Amino acid sequence: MKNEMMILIILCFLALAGGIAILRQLLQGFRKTNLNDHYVWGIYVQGCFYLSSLATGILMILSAAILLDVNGAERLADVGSVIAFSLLFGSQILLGIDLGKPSRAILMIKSNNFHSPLTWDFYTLGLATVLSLVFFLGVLPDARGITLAWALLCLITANLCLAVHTMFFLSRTKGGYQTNAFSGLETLIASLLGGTAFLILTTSAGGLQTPAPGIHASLPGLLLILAVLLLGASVSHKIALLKQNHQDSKAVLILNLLIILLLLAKQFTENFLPSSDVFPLLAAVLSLVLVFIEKFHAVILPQQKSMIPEPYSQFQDKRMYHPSAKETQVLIGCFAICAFVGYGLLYMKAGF
Amino acid sequence: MRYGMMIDLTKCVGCNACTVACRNHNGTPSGVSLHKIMKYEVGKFPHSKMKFLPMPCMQCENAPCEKACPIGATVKRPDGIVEVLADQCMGCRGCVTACPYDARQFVWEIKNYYEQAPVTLFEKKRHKEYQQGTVVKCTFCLNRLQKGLEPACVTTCPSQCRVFGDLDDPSSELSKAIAAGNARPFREDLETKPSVYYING
Repeated sequence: MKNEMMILIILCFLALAGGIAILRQLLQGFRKTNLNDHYVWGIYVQGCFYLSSLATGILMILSAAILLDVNGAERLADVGSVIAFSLLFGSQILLGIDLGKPSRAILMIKSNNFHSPLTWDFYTLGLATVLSLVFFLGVLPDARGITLAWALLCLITANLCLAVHTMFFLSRTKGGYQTNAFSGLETLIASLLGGTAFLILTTSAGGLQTPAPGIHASLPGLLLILAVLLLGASVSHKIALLKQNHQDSKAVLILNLLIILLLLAKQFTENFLPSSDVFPLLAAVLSLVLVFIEKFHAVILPQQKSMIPEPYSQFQDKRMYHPSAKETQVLIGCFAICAFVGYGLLYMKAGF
Repeated sequence: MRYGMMIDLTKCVGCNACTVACRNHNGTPSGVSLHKIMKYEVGKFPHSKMKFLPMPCMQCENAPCEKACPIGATVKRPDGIVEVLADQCMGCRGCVTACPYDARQFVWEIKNYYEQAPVTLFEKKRHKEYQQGTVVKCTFCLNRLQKGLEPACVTTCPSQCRVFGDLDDPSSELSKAIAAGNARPFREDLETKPSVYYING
């Protein structure tokens, strides 16, 4: 436990630094960011979508495992729900600091404008957080029916949350200005891929290995299936959008191929190469990078094109958005808070 | 009663007097503009020419921004004007993303126009009307309308290319001008039912 305590202390310091960065952002407003009238949503929203995508991916995998009655699923859910909770917690911090007046967010409860994707986002994120909290606190009665109901509700909420995150630019799509809103299949697979990758990395972390080795061993296989599915979805999306001069997604395709190659290498070398376990870990890290890029495509790229069509907007400034150093600091700080909360809860759960 | 506007693009010279009048009347901080003119070029040199598209808020009947606001801080008044309730706006910018006419602006910070110089008395007084971290938009100069005046951009236009009035009244000058000039809204295909009509120049 000595090593884990050390990690926890380091994470605590990083989380504190993150907290200070977030506080400064809240006090200073958006002055130190590179957000502007053209790119109104930046790396905070991308980060929020990223963390919630990983969390919903984890929740969907756990729910599916419980509904299919996979051996050891509930024990995996013990770990998974803690991770999902910490990721959702982080995503909500990012969403909060992206608001001009965060204290007014509470008015959403009063207003309940269900025409707005943001209202759905608020409720689905909140519900997913409560669901993960309920499971890891162990307040669910020990009955199969209740666990099944929890899993089903988790599955629905996680799916809804993901779907909502593809709807923010839908009004523009209808107008024919943008093309990649509601890329539902890619978003869904990327979320599952990210969730699986996160579970692989967490369950492989020293001292926190899941007491469900059966499931743990099958996660790289699941990652491979998802990577292949994502490759298919990305390629078809790319082909479908070629005519519309859409920004290509080469990085996603290359990363995707790399992940598949690494996982195939594990399959072919595991019998004679003792260190073949490193391949799934590398593939998991690449998967997390891939999902982050996918969120860039979902949040930042749709804003690249001007709202007003050509030729009216031909002299508009269309410079690409790059997050400022402060924005990057806040994002990393938020990730550190997530890691501290997640690791701390797992550590507490392990019984010190 | 539904306020509307018609802009005759054949008369617009792109002088930006409307934008300046808007900024002056509304006392907007530097970087915030409730009205804009899109400049664009048509034809090929030597037969090319500059054209202009003045764009206030379209005050859509089927406003996407109103639907996108999660806390109901964007409201449509009975006179057709879409208004942001500044004291309620939480600055999520969902409405900015939803508006297909780029008519909304987020107040990133409240800056004065002359960075090196101290804040002018005008700025000191008028900037109090704005809240950093909220969204602002054109309201056809609501405070002028309440006094029986036309929007600042309409009265200031030197080429008199704008007509303002009641869209619901078929005998109004506006309705007659729309019918006579066969004016159409910008991007009618979006089905947002804008209250601003254009005679294409």
